[in-house]
Amino acid sequence: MRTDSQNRIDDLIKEAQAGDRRAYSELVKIHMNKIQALTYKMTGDSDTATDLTQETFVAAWTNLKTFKFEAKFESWLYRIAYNKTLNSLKREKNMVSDYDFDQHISTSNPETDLYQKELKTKVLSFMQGLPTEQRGVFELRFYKEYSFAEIADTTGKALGTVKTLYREAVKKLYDTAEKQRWRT
Amino acid sequence: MNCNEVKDLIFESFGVQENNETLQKHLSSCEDCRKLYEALAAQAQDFGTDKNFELNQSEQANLLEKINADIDRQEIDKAVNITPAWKSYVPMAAAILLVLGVGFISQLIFKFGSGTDTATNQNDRVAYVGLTDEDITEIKSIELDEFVDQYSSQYDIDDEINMLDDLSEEEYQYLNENLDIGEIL
Repeated sequence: MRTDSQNRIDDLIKEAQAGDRRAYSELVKIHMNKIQALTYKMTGDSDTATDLTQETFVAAWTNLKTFKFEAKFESWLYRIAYNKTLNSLKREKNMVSDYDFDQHISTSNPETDLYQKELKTKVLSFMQGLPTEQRGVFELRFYKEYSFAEIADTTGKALGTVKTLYREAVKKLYDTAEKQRWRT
Repeated sequence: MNCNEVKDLIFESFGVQENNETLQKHLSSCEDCRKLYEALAAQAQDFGTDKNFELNQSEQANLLEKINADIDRQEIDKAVNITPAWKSYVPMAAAILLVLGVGFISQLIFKFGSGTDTATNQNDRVAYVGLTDEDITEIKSIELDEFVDQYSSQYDIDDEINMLDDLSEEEYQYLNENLDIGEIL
């Protein structure tokens, strides 16, 4: 069943497809953080992530007329962002080790800032330790709560491959946690 | 469902609400699998949500501004480089003209240039349309006889050499192609 927000998004897409830039800006505002979260966790670098988010929305505008409402608009954007990020990582072999975690922590509460910093360190360290395609699958499954079928559709991979990639990522996470537990 | 299958399912359902009855039943009776499940559930909580990776208000405003500026630039480029509709037909028109031109020139060469295809031959091709090869050979043979008779009748029997002198170049070529001149002589 379609929700009001989905209907609102569909209306905005139709208006944007007709050339309405204000409608497109609304769409950008609605989806910007989700795309940024995907590109950030996949690249581990906030500036690269912002550039990729920007490229994603510019490419989406250019190709907006090809969007046929067969999939969710959000999935369509994820597909663009995922492919752009993979290409960028392949191009630059961007295995970032120097994270700029403090840059986006902006609360005035030091405890929250510390928690945020630790969480980001943990997540980004883990993500950067995964092969790039596993990162994308982990992001879509864990953070976007996509079904394996939706992930297969978004990434263009077979259902079995997607399941294997996710299982391997989680096994790695579990093994790392176990090793740390034995060390402490 | 054995432990290996359950472990796969536990890994696959990491971070996702899984209400699989078979899984829950197995977990209630298998301590190893339950420990794995609980350890991963605790890990999942430490991974936060997308909210932990959101941009703040000013970053969002900056990014939106950059996206709009990029799109503006793109739209301006598109407007500047716009191609009038008729221009898209130019290559096609050029190709058609080229084909027609080549065809026309070929026709001219065929008609006047080679000299091997005379007006008579061309007329023949039109006249013989629809006839079998045998019919054409027979007709040509009759035509040739008539031609020779017509010319021969104008000259005395001793005057064959003059007869040949009076032939036009085209007539001479026609005879030469269809008859051994030696036979006439």
